[in-house]
Amino acid sequence: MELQNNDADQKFLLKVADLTVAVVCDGRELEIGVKDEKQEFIVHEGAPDVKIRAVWGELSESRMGFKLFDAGSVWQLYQNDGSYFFRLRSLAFGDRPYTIARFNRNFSEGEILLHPDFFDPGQAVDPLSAPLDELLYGALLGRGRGAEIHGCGLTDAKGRGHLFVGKSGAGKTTIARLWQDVPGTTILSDDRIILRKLEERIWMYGTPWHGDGGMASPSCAPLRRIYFLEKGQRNELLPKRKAGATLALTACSFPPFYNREAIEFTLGFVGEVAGEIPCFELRVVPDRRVVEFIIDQISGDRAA
Amino acid sequence: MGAKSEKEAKPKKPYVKPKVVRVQLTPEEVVLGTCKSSGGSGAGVLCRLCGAILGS
Repeated sequence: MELQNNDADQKFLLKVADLTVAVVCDGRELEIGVKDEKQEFIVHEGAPDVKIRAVWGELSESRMGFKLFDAGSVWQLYQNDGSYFFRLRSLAFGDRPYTIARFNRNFSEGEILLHPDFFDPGQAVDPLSAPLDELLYGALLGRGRGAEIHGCGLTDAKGRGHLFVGKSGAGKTTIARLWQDVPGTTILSDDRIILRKLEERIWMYGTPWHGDGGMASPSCAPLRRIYFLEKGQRNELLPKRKAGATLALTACSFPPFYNREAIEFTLGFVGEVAGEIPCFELRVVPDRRVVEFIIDQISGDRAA
Repeated sequence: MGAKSEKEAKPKKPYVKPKVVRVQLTPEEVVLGTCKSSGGSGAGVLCRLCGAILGS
């Protein structure tokens, strides 16, 4: 796919976890852009892993093929003749889709059709608006690249990567807020972290898909420890064995459920992470003392 | 021969019966069936995409 065909083409490059997605459109017809924290993830150069063209269009559902997966209210996935079709709809708009995104078999190329009825013509449109961006990255990661984890990730003043894993309500954003003002800390995300293995090390990356704290950074760091959040009467750190850590990490991952190979890869990768990175159950009292507690614990560990 | 003796000398780990561990999942969360809250939405605002309450 040739992305820049003419002078009128408008383009942005979104880079998350070292994976770059190029979105291009004809600027005479459509204005594209991203908002809020996602702007931090826009880059201006680099070879894209995925090339997408966005266009206005009437959305014909006749060639989408058979339904592969239904996530409920927001999106469905169809497959036809080697192509995947994400159908996105909103409760506010009824059953009609506002976007249909088609991707080739390995998700290296795609086309996003946007229905003009559902967008404000005076505003720039993000063709990869949630949840399509996350779904696309999930598909890319599941093809041997890594995994997205429900967790808060941060680096401390010594550059050590800490990942606090837990479902909604577990305290991820609370942990992020407690660390936020500690000098030298970078919060990669208060809700979604991507893990990848590159050059024999497990790296964690920030994502634009933040939690209530709105914390999102395109930075990355080698992962040093994983903590599974539990509420406690006092701060406690209990080592977690590989099997238990694999299970807990799997339960807080987002594998592409529609693809057997991707699920197999994700399970294997998560097990590898749990085997390589020290994992702990962290029982937490949600106040500032937990930050000192973590720093004290890791400082006392010679391996850290 | 030596290797075999070494193997024999190693204490066996006690057998632990496998057990099924049930994990509580929130389906709409794990399949990205609700959208993420966006900045500035404010608490209690209904998401027009999925109907979820944002900023809670």
